[in-house]
Amino acid sequence: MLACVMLFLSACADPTTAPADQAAQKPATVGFTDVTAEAGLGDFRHVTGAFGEKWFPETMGSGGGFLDYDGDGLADVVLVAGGTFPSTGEEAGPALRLYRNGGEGRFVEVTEIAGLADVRAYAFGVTIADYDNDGDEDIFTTTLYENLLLRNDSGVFREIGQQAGLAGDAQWSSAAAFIDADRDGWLDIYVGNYVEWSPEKDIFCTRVAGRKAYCTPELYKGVSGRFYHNNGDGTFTDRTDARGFTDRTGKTLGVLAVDYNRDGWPDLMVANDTQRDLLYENQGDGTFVEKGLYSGIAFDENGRARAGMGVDAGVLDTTGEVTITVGHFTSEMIGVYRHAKDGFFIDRAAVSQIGRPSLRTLTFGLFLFDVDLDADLDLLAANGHITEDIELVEDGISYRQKVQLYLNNGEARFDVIEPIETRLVARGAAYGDYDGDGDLDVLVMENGGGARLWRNNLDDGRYLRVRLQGAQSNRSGIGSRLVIQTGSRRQERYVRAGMSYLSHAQTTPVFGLADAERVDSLWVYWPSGVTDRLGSLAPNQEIRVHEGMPVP
Amino acid sequence: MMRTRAQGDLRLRAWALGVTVLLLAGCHPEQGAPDPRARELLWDIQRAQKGNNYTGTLALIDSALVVAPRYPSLYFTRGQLLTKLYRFDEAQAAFEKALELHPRYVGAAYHLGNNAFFVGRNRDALRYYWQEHARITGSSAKPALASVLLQLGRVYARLGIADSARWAYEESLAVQENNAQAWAWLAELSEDAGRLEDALREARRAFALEPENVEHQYLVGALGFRMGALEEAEGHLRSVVNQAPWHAGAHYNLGRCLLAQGREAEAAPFLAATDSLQELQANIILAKFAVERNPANRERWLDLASLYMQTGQQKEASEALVVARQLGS
Repeated sequence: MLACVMLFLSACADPTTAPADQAAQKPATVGFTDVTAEAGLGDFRHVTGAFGEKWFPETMGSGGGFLDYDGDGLADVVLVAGGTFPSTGEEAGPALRLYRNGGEGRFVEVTEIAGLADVRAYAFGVTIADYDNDGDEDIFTTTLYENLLLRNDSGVFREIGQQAGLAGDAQWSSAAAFIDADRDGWLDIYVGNYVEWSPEKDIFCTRVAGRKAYCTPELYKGVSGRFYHNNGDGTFTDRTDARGFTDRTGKTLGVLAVDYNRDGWPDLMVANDTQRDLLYENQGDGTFVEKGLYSGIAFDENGRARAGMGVDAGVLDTTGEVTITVGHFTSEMIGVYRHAKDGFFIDRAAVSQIGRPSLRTLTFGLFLFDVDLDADLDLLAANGHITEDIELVEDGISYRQKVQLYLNNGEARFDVIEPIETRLVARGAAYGDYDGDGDLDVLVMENGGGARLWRNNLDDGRYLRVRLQGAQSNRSGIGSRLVIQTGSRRQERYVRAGMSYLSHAQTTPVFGLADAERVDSLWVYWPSGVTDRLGSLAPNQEIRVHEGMPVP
Repeated sequence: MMRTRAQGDLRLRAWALGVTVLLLAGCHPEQGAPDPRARELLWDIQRAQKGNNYTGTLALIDSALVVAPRYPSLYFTRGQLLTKLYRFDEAQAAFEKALELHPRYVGAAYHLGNNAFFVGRNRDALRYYWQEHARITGSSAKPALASVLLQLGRVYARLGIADSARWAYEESLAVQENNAQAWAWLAELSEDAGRLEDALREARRAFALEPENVEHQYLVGALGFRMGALEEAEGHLRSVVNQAPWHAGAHYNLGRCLLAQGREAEAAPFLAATDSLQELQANIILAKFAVERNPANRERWLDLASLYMQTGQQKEASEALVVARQLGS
């Protein structure tokens, strides 16, 4: 009875503060320091182009990520700057801003000298890979109109989207992923599209009579994604239908390459906003069959479509099976779909303890990484609402939200913490080791705001970083599966280009080793079919693996 | 992106209208005798209500208010009718007036709580429900108290305060032990927490108490499937599909359940139906919003009725048609 009374009293005092308090009381085993300003990223601002008309695209950007554009081994940063609407006459800045890592934790903006200053667009996302196998990383950028392919020529970028056949129609593209669908050594690309929107097609939505509000995607027709095959000569050909990408749903916000059935052929997960999600299974020849509904990915457990946004995948537990995670709207749990068998997934959101804490947040950016290097994958959710006055509409939900970090106990059960006090209107998010100390740092992009770089405060911890160079396979090693064995523990990473929400994480995989003295074995399963095995590796190093030429 | 949240709200709204009946059935507030002419009109109002003549009833209430402008029951009834017509702002004003005239009017704070809950003003909803709770605690109105506690639990659950939600549901059960809805929502809490065994046990209690309730049976079936009790789950889900052909969740889980048993060909039509039902349900949500935005527009109600017909939700279709008919052409 006393307990009941106490519950009653505490609930009446301020019922909406309890969840945050509960999270904050959990012991933090990891932490971050905001180093945005001292790292030289403090002047960046994402431009929404908002001018009072509440146009839909304003709320959705943007992404960014880590790359090594100059091949010096240090993680550089690219940020998507948004844009302005042509009809407003407002001058747009560069679509992308590039920051070179000068070492010692400092970045220098190189947008101009890298040839990006004059690249103008209303941009949303990036995905990064060496699509032409020339040894440097190129950038694909999605925009509100034609997309951009920025070819890297020794550190200077040239926009060749049209010329390469990747610009596509003038439509709203969102997430994209490079994927060597037919394993011919050349990276193809899947480009997710969102909805049919243009100033002329803008719909007047309102919650208060006469006052315009941002519309929701249901009111707009979806635009389906496109698949472009890499011809190997610097150009691409649209093979959307021929390769089986026939679903016309659209409203895509997340795209991810994943080999969930371990047949060596990359499959493709497509997260859609208020429409069923799609899982394209590779048929072993570079063609795909959509199996979302059969796999259990398409809907939530009650057969309802959710607002799918950021997406990532990895092996979270000792079953060895792949789990696909998807960020969702408030009142919807983050999806935690673990592959059971034969292409059948089970959503373990509630059981994993990720579900309930995610009900109060709107998760755009989301990724899996081993934040504490304890040899399992943790989950970071970058949150922020789309409705500025949501506090007036629904108590307990805020426009600016905290980032959540879900710490894995090794068996895919998670404790949530809020590692940074600052509330953000977060969109894209990615990880990378910008200071080269072995642990993974975090980059979060804010809609209409700055980027945030958070340094991982981990003092010790053992890691192994693996840099790949393909030969038969694509040069970046995209689509490779890496497995390490330390004692009885196995871990796995999949190398991908394009993840989270409109973003790109460091391509070089990092394994946390917990207290392991050595890595007994490392296997690299290249997309070409070649397998390299390396044995007895010391921790706390980066090793380079050239396809077919393993280091002893 | 807003649809799913809105979908949840509308489901809650539909439920809240249901418990309203329960609450009123248990309460007989003594509000003082009205003017004799008003009393006469009250009889007419009751008759009109029984005939589902919403607009006619509203007109009668307005007439009664001319002769008895300080009679709280008239405002209360007006509020209930306006709620049925999706005219929530006006309904709120009516309930507030009832409370102003009779600060202890039973049911008014509860309805105000519902209104606040519908529009996401959760703190206000809690305040109103606690007011109602204080008013009826210790009275003989057990079903009403149980309803208030249930709704309190619902707000706590929405706010993510699972412990308080559980407490409220359990208190509701302490007041009315055969309250199936309380068991069902306890099951949902357990499910959200990943305690599937508890959830299944609680869902079974709900279903045992109300075996005719397809939502309870669906919960047992869906949880059973997730727990691997495939045969039992299949039976329940088939039953729900037969009784509620509009139920996307039942189709989906039945399809998945059959797939899990390797019966792919049998599963296919249920999974395909999920897709189309999901689309129809999404359109229903939009149609409901359209009705809310313009509740006096007959066409909007007809659109809603038509969509309900397509999904086989005959009862809901009839209710929408009743309103459309009364709004005239």
